[in-house]
Amino acid sequence: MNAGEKKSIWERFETIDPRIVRWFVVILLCVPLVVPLGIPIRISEPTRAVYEAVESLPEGSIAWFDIGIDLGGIAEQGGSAIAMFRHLMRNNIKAIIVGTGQTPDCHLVWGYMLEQAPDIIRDKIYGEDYVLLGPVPGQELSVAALAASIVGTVDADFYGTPLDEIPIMEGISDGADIDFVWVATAGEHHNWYIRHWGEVYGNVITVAMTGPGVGDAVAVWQAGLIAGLQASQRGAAEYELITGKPGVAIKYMDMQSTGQGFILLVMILGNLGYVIRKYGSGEK
Amino acid sequence: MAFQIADAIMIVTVCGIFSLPLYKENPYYRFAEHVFLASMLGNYFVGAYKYLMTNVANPLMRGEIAYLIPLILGPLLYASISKKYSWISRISFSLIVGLATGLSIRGGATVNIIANVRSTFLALFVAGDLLTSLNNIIVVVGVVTGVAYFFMTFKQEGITGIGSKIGRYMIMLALGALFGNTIMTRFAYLGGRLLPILQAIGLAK
Repeated sequence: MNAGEKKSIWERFETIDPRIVRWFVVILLCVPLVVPLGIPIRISEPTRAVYEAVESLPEGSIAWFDIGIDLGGIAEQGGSAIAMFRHLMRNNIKAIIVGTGQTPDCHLVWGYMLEQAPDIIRDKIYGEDYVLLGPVPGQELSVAALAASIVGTVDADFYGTPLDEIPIMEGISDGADIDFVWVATAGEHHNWYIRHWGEVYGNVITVAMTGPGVGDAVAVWQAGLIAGLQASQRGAAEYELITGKPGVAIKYMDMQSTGQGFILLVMILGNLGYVIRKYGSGEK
Repeated sequence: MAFQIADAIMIVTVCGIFSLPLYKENPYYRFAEHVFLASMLGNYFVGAYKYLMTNVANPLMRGEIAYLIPLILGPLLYASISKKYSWISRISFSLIVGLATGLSIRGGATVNIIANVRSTFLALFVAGDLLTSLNNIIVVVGVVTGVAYFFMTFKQEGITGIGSKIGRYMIMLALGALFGNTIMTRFAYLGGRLLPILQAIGLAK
């Protein structure tokens, strides 16, 4: 194109300053957060499977609650964590909270959960109904070590109380003593639990997964290696819905729908522009 | 909810980080970035220190001297920053790599291969359930043609060429789904910062 030649609308669209698109996205996402649209949410099969797995646990069962995400992941999976913990407590299932993620953030995520939903531990006693072991570094090595011996890997809870002085830990020594594993992850955690817990002790494992890992996790779920899956923020919203306590994740769903709709529109326009420019100009 | 100092700090730092993609590189962004990095490193340090004190120092105090081994092997990793003594760090690294490899092999075939292959052995026609039948057909065709795409032993033409082409489209579909999920995560991160700001200034509940 020569200098001074008038650009077509499609050419201008292709060369638009990315910052304009970013501003537009930010403003667009704010709208449904300020004025909720109430777009209905359908509960998917993997989320329902998580719910049913928890419902099938007898009272007094022990759940392993692995917050394998970092603090940055709370917007996506904080809702899943809160809804799951509330469900466990409501069904009188005891929970051992731990974090085998790459970053030692699980206690911070736990703090966020309590700040957002203080009711999740209402009428529950620390040490009897739940305990916070805190971050355990080592990733797959620590998951394997915990499977072989929890008390050999972690000496005390997050606050320094020796495990043998904590009532909930009485009689719990390794993965075989855990009935249910819930793991929030942004990567490979679920595979580690399948390899070192599920395959060895037959624990019921469910996963809360960030968006990019959902494809892999769905394949693992379809293969029957995990009992259920909370897929990204949508899975979190579905779980809030199915457990009857709408929370933070549902607030984000209208935003997700609006944003995804915008991306879809931009992709269609971009491709349409490409086709029109290519074939409209006789270019082959 | 009353506007608190914590809200002000959050808004200032989040806007600082947002100033890069929404405007351009600037000192305000640098400030927010450094605050983020410093607080993250501080958290890492405190986390590591606390873990060491609780789970290594305490057992050592009780006389469990086996805990001396990781206490020695851990600092050896830092020898890698010295040209002269970097070889020492290989002792710890080799142990980590060896352990991680051994552990990932354990059950690896079952989890990553056998179970996934088994899950694709589906009935192509389920009586009275058209959607499941269609879904199963898509899964089986997708797996077979997707694998065919990577079959490079001989030239892909004729029936294998068609299979390979379908496989390519199947892979593109899968990548499209991956892209959609990734967008969902990015929006979740963005929304996770926008909502608290809107709540702090009273625009959202």
